[in-house]
Amino acid sequence: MVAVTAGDWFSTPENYVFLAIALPLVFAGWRVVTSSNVVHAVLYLVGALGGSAALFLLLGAEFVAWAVVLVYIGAVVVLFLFGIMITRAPIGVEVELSHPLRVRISAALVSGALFVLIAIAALTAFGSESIPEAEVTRTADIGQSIFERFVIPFEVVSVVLLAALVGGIVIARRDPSPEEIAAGKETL
Amino acid sequence: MQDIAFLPIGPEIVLLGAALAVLMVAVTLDLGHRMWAAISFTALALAILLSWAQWIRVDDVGPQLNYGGEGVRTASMVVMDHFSALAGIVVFVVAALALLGAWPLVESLERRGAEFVALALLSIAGLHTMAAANNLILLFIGLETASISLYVIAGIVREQPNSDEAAMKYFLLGSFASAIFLYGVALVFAGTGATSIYGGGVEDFVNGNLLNLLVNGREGVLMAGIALLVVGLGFKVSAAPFHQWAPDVYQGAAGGAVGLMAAGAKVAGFAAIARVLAGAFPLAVDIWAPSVAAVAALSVVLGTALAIAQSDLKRMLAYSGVAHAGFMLTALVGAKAGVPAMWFYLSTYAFQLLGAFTIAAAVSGPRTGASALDEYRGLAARSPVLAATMGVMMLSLAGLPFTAGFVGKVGVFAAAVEAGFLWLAVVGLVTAVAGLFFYIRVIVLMYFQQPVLAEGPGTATAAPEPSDHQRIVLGVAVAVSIGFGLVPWPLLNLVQHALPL
Repeated sequence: MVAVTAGDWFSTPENYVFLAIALPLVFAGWRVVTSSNVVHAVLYLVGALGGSAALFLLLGAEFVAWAVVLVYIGAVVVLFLFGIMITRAPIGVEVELSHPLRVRISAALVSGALFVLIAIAALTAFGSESIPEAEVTRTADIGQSIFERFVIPFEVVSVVLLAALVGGIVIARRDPSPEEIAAGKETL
Repeated sequence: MQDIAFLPIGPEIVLLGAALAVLMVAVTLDLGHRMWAAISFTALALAILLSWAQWIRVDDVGPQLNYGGEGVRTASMVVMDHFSALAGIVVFVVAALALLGAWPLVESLERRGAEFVALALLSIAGLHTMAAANNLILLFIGLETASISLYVIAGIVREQPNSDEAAMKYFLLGSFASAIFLYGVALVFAGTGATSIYGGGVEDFVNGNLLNLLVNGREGVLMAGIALLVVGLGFKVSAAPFHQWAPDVYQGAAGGAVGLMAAGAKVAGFAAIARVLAGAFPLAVDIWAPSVAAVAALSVVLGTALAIAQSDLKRMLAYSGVAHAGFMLTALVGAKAGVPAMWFYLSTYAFQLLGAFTIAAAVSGPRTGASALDEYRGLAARSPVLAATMGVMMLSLAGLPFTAGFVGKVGVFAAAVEAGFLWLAVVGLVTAVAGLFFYIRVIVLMYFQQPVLAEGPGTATAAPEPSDHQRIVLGVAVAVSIGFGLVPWPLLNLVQHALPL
């Protein structure tokens, strides 16, 4: 995908698709951090995540793409929205969200440094090397390996979730007071 | 369709079934804690028997990977060898006793007791998974199963602020350590291209290609990976410098619950460390042994020095646990040759730790967190049985002759000397002598000092009596500490065979 020579960049149609995805993605990412309305920021986050899922699709990593859609857009973002609404945070423009300039500069420095780091790492590792088609992992392969090779870890993960679920309830549940038990109004 | 051998994962299946049964029974029928006891102890007894059956099966047909055959794409995830069978026996016996000792707490929790029992069973299943895993991914998931359950168990008594703090600290630091471990798995994968320990996994790659690795420059990645694995597991067994959580968590968590958290996590954590270091990377021993020796030396010195300054029994036991973790790591510098010494030390230490925490629960109450040393002043006059038992535990933890602790320490130091780490054995020896101070101090408090005058239950004038459950735990702990101190040969012979595949 990363074609280094400028000559054939415009002759590859995939690159136009990439641009069509990447530019809105960058814009959405920019708006996530600059928007002063929490709900708007979360909605832009949906756009950013959707864009990255589309990029994964473009790379042929369909499983990662749908995992991003399901896990991040489907679960995490909805969790954010629920969190905002349940905690009764003011929905609308919020002044506190605007950070002072030095915070913005340091955030920009950190993210810029991270970008440079990742870019250098990726370019050093792969350069203009193109990944052979056969090595693209299909969802079917992942499913095969989850239910064959990794079936026991896969099952044990469900035990982890069970433990977390039971633990969460144990920690969060309110014990009924003796009067409530007497009145038959027990809260589980 | 491939055959799955169920014996290697039998104990986990039984325990998981029991955990679900306890939860379902608690939801549908109001049969009370006797029913939970019946289910959980039947399951634990079955798990012990299954581990024993595993041992016999390995005797007959040799170590086994759990499924897969000729030309099958599946790889094995669970390994059944003497190492995992012994780990199963030790973990399940210790856990069963810990649960028994925790029963006064379960009764006092009323309806939430069922969740406590279920979480305890899940954590026990996770602990054994760590010891039997043949893949670093499964090892990590087993670690998480055990850890998440134990975080909740640490905070099960919610009206104590200390307990909340303990659970929160354990959770935050523990998650961090798990993440470090996971990063280590990723780096090992980057360095070797595999995550399974035996059979075309990490070991083969290291065996065949360590020299190539040097040429390719990926050895650095592998080393970083091993280092992060050791850090992650070192946290779980509270080896210095990753021990800061242990004193607060032990002190804050309910007295009845600490035994399972401390003893269970130590046994499984060390089984996992031994499996990873001696099982997966035996040929890289020159790379990891010096760093493990450094951690061991730091643990014995720091643990002993800090234990001297404590005024709370549970904190003192936490710091002494740091020192004991150091002693066991001392054995592991010898890689496979040190594993039997580690097993002897570990399996007897778990019982002593459990015994000491059970006494703390009897003296300070199963729900209370703190257990100030002042409460033990003049205990001999008030509760002769508890004081005598505590005396035996302290002597064995200190490693005096004719106790199991002594035999364990001798084996550990011998293993270190054999591996060429004489200095480490000397450091251990010196700190072991220094450690006598704080163990003997407890005995002096109990036998030669007058109680501080105070009123009310749980204060130094009360005469605490162990419950019947706790009596059984204490009886076994004393029997192990003295029995294997006088006649260590049966266990010594057993652990000689318990090498990782």
